[in-house]
Amino acid sequence: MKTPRKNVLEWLTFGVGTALVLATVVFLAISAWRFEDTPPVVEIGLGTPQARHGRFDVPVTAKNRGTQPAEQIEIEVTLKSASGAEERATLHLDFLARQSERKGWVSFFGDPSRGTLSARPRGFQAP
Amino acid sequence: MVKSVKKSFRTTAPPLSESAQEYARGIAGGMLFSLPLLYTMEVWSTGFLASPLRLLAYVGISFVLLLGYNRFAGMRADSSFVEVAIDSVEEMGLGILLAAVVLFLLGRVTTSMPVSEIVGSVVVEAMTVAIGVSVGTAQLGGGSKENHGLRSDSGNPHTSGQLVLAICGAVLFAANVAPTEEILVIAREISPAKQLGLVALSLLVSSLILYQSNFTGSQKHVRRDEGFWIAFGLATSYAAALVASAVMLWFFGRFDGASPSLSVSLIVVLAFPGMLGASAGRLLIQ
Repeated sequence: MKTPRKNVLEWLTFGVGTALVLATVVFLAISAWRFEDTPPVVEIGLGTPQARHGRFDVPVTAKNRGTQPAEQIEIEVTLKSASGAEERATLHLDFLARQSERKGWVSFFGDPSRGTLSARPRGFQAP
Repeated sequence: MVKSVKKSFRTTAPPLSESAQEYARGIAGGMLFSLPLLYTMEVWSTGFLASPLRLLAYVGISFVLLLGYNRFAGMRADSSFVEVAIDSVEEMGLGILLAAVVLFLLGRVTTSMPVSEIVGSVVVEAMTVAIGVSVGTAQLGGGSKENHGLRSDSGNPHTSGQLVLAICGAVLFAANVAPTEEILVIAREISPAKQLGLVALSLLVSSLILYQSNFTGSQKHVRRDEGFWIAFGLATSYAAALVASAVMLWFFGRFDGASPSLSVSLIVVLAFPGMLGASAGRLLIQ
């Protein structure tokens, strides 16, 4: 078999190109091998509220544990005060890729440290 | 990957400056042909939404197209398979690198993203960039081009070679609109009569390009000696456009949940730009 004559730059490009292509193909092949088709499972996590300009911003993390992506995710976060009054905030995410997470914030007038926060995905759709 | 003067088997390594010029042309071609895709939102989301197997198939199909383009237009006809394969790997590697850099600078790929999302986003863009790199390296040079296009021993245009180039042309042209919502909207709304009209317009425009307008390269690369060859040329070009359109639509998930009639409508709608690529695009990239 004839070996093409190449200079250093060409061999370097070929080496880097081969490494990138192989890494991509191997990664995708392993991902495809392990891939199980499961519907989106959206879990919501809440972070520590921060007081800002007379309101309280609460970090929200949405995580999709399924292998199918979810789109148009509506998240509702509820703050229930000790008196029983409820304040609701919503967050909309365009999409959530499989097994990945996105972060956002919701805002309340009431102080979350004086009540109870709860969150749920109100709904989402398949792409 | 010396192709400015399409190369046969080389006995000596080319000077570094010559290789650098070719890579520069390749980078320019990669950017030029894939720019609309790099700036299109639906393409970014396909990177997240497509399954690993679909992405893997896309890489495989793109590599076969690269091999075909390099075999029939990018390099001289007497280039060995090893040379064609090496060039194709280089171009795909450059495509991945370029797509990753541009997506990072555009903020579409970030270090906080999971690896699967990064790989998906880059792969979706990189394949078109790679074909652009190949076309750019071969076609954007200022030097003379030997062995321009591929002919069989009889002197007539090489049929299988022209078919491969027609598919490459169709992919390059149709890829710019294939992932957009607009294709879906059009396909959903137009009547079967209008779909038939689009088929007729595709064939008419293609016949003008290939046979009537003295288009660049048409005298050399299109067989036109008999009525049969004109019909054959139009039919194979449209077949290339249909196949390329169907594969791209499948990759971008447009067939998921679509009825058979919507699927056909989607293919016909996309095959119009595809047919421009399979006729005009094909002549311009060889």
